[in-house]
Parts: sequence; structure tokens; C-alpha cells
Amino acid sequence: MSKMESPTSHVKRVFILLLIIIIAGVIVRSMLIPESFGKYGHYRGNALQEEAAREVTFSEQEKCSSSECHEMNFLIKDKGKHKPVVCENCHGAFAFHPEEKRADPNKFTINRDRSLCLTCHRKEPARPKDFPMIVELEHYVEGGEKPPCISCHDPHSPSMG
Amino acid sequence: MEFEKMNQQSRRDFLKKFIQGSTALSVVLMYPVPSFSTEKDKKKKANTNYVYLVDIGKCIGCGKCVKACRTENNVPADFFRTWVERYLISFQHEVFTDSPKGGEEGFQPKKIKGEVEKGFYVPKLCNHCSNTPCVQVCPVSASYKSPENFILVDKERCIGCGYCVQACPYGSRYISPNSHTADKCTWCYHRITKGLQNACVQACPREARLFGDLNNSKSKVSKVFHRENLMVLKPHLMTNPQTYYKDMAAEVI
Ligand code: HEC
Ligand code: HEC
Ligand code: HEC
Repeated sequence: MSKMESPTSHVKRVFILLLIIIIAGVIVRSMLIPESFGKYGHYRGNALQEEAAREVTFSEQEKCSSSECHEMNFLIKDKGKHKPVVCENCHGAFAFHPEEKRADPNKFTINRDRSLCLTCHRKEPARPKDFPMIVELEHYVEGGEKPPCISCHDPHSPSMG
Repeated sequence: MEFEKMNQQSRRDFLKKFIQGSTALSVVLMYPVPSFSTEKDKKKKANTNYVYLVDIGKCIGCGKCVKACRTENNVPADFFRTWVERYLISFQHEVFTDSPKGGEEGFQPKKIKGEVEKGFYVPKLCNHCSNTPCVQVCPVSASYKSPENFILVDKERCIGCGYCVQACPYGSRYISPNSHTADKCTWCYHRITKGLQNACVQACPREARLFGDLNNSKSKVSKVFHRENLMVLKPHLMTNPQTYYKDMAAEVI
């Protein structure tokens, strides 16, 4: 106790300590809370743009109605009973068609199987009664042979008259 | 002597206040309010009112919606963002339900005990509840409600704890085996913002699924919404779902 300390030095020390705590707090906070958090609400605002930027795989069927593409199929379907059934239900998603098809000719396959039609038209008690349904084994099945549906029905305009 | 006593007391007081003050300050600092963002950044609540309508009387259970959803959103096998359930009710009022592969490949005929008295399909998806428990339980704010009222998941923040999966009373969420985060129906936010329809709505050949903005008088939903008798799933839970069902039987859970 030879040299007298300044009477305010302990206050200074406390304030310096407080300042260090505040600075550390701000640094830790900015490290924990991501950028754009709270922009729109209690979440990371950029997540919204990231979600919106995702790629689309299902296109609109008007895309295939161009005269260089499948105009005929489109027009036939548009006049027939399958108007409400979009092409992609039977042919698969085509946002990347025809580019994808050119790159890989096996990419776009046509299902000619009876099962394609039966997923929609098989008689089922849970189906609404106003929907045209068939009993699989009673509908033009002769001698145990099951002909493909498309041997009689045009898949793009299936009505029989 | 007197002076020393006074000094001691005030030091204790000072330390007490110091600790109280710094605790309060650190609590305020840790709360991630948008305190650093400016007011003009803040998007006002969008003046849209999106709803999803499911018409049970129209659904034929073809499962094209489930397939479309899987393709559009890369939903991993055996997980579903939307699925179709079959209800068969016998004369003795026994209820049989199934959903083979989420109805994705359609439904095979099924024998039940007794005659089928009533049957229907119920498409299910996230209800995008206005008062949703899944957002409330998320510990890292990865589940959130967009300004347009879409319930979405921030895959970057999500830690895959699964609280939201447990909290959802409709079973609409799952932990994706690919990203190990929660995943769910987004109402195709990425398609709606591009002016397209939801993949499932577009795939439906019977218009059993409709989606749109009630505040837009040109939308299909605004034309039917107030004319139909609509119901929501589990209304007693007060989650305020925004997916409405038409022609729903009491047996549906
Ligand atoms: C109900 C299911 C279904 C729908 C909907 C459908 N197709 Fe098809 N499509 C088929 C089947 C089945 C074949 C095979 C026909 C055959 O081999 O005789 C086919 C064949 C085709 C072919 C091959 C060439 C031809 O004309 O046979 C093209 C191209 C085609 N479809 C385009 C379209 C387009 C474009 C649409 C939408 C406007 C569409 N399809 C909608 C089932 C469908
Ligand atoms: C995605 C479901 C779906 C698929 C797959 C499908 N259809 Fe259809 N089909 C429909 C719808 C919807 C209608 C329109 C029913 C109506 O007018 O109420 C329809 C109508 C029909 C009709 C007309 C019935 C009538 O009232 O004249 C026939 C026939 C038919 N489809 C046969 C087929 C054949 C054959 C296939 C397979 C190539 C097929 N459908 C595939 C959904 C489908
Ligand atoms: C041998 C030709 C032939 C084959 C094969 C065939 N159909 Fe038909 N289908 C017809 C004829 C003809 C009609 C119209 C007369 C009738 O209702 O029986 C018809 C009618 C229908 C109808 C309308 C029934 C209604 O109540 O309005 C549907 C749906 C249908 N067929 C679906 C299919 C499906 C699915 C397949 C394949 C599993 C198939 N058809 C195979 C000839 C055929």
C-alpha cells in the first residue's frame, strides 16, 4: 500500500468488464443467428426464396399442343372423354421433355398395359357410381384371353360411339 | 467503522444489481427478434387467403396425385406428402380402412366382412393449419409459416429432432431418410409462386382436388367455397386447418 490507487479505478475496471461482456455477447449472437433471420417472421427469410426457387417437373399439357409436337394427340384428347385426364397421368412428367428424350431415348416410355386403364376404371365399391367402371374379367374377355384395352379403345379418345 | 459498513453494503448492492442487469441484458440479446432488420424489409402479411378443397364424392382413388407428388417433390419411397385412404363400411357398421402404398398404384378389390354399405376414398395431405402445433414445437424455428400461410420447413435449420412429426395430429410429416430433416407437403409453394397449379391438383382427372386464393374472385375455390358444406379434419383440436373436405362422412378420422 505504498502507492495510493485512484479512487475511481475499481469503477473503471467494472465498466471495462461490462464492455467486454457486451462485445462477446454481440459476437456470439451474430454467430448463432443466421443472416435474414426475422426478415418476414420468426424464421430464416432466405428459406422462403430457396423453397420458391425449386425446379418444376410437371408441365402444362398445352406445351405438347404445338404443331411441331403432338398437336394431333392433343386435339383428339381434347374432344374425347379423356379431356380431363392430363397427358402426364399416362406418360409421366415432361417438364424436361423433349430434351431429356433426345439425351436418352428410353426415357419416355408408353405403357400399353391393361393395368394403366384399370387403376382408374376397375369396378370398386368405394368409387363414385357416376364414374364409368368395368369388371375386369367380364369386359370383353373371351376364353381367358385378356386383350389390351387399346386394341378396342383409343387411349386418347376412348368412347365407343 | 461506520464508513466501512456503509461501503460494504453498497458494494454488495452494486454486485447484485450488476448480476441482475447483465442477466437481463444477455436474455434480451439472445432473443432472436428481427431487431437488426429495418422496417421496410418486413413483408406485410400477404393479403391472400389460400385454401385447399377436397371433394370426397368425386375421388376415384386412382392415386395419380400421389404419383405426381412423388415425382414433383422427390418424395422418397414409402414416405408420402399426400396419400389416399379407402373407407369401406359394412351394413353392421364396421369400418375398414386401408391405403396400400398410399394408394399410389390404385386400389385392388378387397373383401370385407359383410356387404359393403358405403365406400369412398379420402385424399389426405398437410392441412396447413392456421394455428399449427408443428411450428410451435420447433426448437430451432426451422418449421415456419410463410406470409401466405404455407407451412414450410427450412432444411438448413432443421436438426431432425422429430418433435414436429410427433406434434402433427394428421401424420403429415416425416423425417426424410435422404436429408435427415423433417419433410412435408409444401402445397407446391415453388409452383404456386411460379403461377402454376399444385402437382396433385393438376393430376386429378376429376377435380376432386382444388386449390386457390379465396380473395381472388376469379379463382375456382372462391366460386365454390361458400356454396358447399365443408368440413375439416379433427376440428376439436382447434388447429384451424386450411384444407377443407366436401361430402365427408362421420367415419373419417
Ligand atoms: C389415358 C392415358 C393417356 C393419356 C391421357 C394420353 N395418352 Fe398418349 N398414349 C397412351 C397410350 C396407351 C398410348 C399407346 C397407343 C398405342 O400404342 O396404340 C399412347 C400413345 C401416344 C403417343 C405415341 C404415338 C401415337 O399417337 O400413338 C403419343 C405421341 C402420345 N400418346 C401423346 C399424348 C399426348 C400429347 C397426350 C396429352 C394431350 C396424351 N398422349 C395423353 C395413353 C394416354
Ligand atoms: C387417370 C385416370 C384414367 C386413366 C388412367 C384412364 N382413364 Fe378412361 N376415363 C377417365 C375419366 C376421368 C373419364 C371421364 C369419365 C366421365 O366422363 O365421367 C374416362 C372415360 C373413359 C371412357 C368413356 C366412358 C364413357 O362414358 O363413354 C372409356 C371407354 C375409358 N375412359 C377407357 C379408358 C382406357 C381404355 C384407358 C387406358 C388406355 C383409360 N380409360 C385410362 C380416367 C382415366
Ligand atoms: C374387345 C374390345 C374391347 C376391349 C379389349 C376393351 N373394351 Fe372397353 N368397351 C368396349 C365397347 C364396345 C364398349 C362400349 C359398350 C359397353 O359399354 O360394353 C366399351 C366400354 C367401356 C367403358 C365404358 C363403360 C360404361 O359403363 O360406360 C369403359 C370404362 C371401358 N370400356 C374400359 C375398358 C378397359 C379399362 C379395358 C381394358 C381392361 C377395355 N375397356 C377393354 C370394347 C372393349
